[in-house]
Amino acid sequence: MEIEEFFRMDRWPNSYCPGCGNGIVMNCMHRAMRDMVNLDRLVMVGGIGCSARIDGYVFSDAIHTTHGRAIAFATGIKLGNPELDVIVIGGDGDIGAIGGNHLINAARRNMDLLVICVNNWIYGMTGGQISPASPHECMSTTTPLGNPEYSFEFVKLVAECGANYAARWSITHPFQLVNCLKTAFQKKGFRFVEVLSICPTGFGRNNKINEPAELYKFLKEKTYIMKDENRIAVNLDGKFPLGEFANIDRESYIESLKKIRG
Amino acid sequence: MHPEINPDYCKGCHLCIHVCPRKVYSKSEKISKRGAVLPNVEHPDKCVNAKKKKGEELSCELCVLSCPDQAIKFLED
Repeated sequence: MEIEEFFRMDRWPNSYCPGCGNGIVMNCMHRAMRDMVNLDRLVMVGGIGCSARIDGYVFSDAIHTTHGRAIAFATGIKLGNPELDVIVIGGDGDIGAIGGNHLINAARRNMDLLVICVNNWIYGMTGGQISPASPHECMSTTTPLGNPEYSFEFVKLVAECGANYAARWSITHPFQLVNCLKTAFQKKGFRFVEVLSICPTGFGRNNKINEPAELYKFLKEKTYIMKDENRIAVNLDGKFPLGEFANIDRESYIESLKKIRG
Repeated sequence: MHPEINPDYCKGCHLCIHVCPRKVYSKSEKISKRGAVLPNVEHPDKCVNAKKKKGEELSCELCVLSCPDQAIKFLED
């Protein structure tokens, strides 16, 4: 499937700032799903935010929901018609901060959803406030002296909550991200893919990193391929391990529901 | 095959210049009609896909994947 059949190219150029990581996530989504996706069966669900607007660009049914409730809506869609492939896409503020409770409970239920969380360390669309994923001591419009908090590691949290698949890659590793999305798309149960991304307008401007290429380099220096990890879900050292944090085959919610109903 | 940049889609973020391991792209003076400073495909012969024919599987494609605006396409020479 060519990129013109996967995305609504009549809406191009897309609405993102120059150098935004969301476009790279879109490329990787197309590259991963072009051979196996059936767009008639696909539903994209997004909340509020720049990353959640990706759902409107895909040539499938899409729903743009209230802030932080994308996983709740997607759960309803999947239960209403289990034949559908439901993909939730959103930013760190939408999925991890405001929708945090929906996220951990969906992982506990092992609900059949693929959640792509584009983590750019900031609330981008609303003007660059800190989010729970912002690294320690980073600048933002609400923390002009530096962030006093330590950031959340959503991928470890979801892996601990019993999700079938939890992985983290960054936009600086596009080939690994494509393979990860391929794996996640084919599995059952709750699949969570966190993509570290760049936001030159929201994060870069406040942190005196003005060029997208500089921010890309900054992100690449902050990440490393995972070796052996401690399991604490708070980031203490400012380095971000990449890789698969969970890959199991637990019974998914739809399967257990069928079993209970008999 | 050589890469070509669509001037209507490009917003001038220059990530392609940064990610290309063979330095195919360079900065240019060209301004698109939306006001973006366009990159230039300066050395298309240096690209790993330069000798590939249409229909063959392309390798690398890091610029295509890393372009946030889907502006880069590989076309036949």
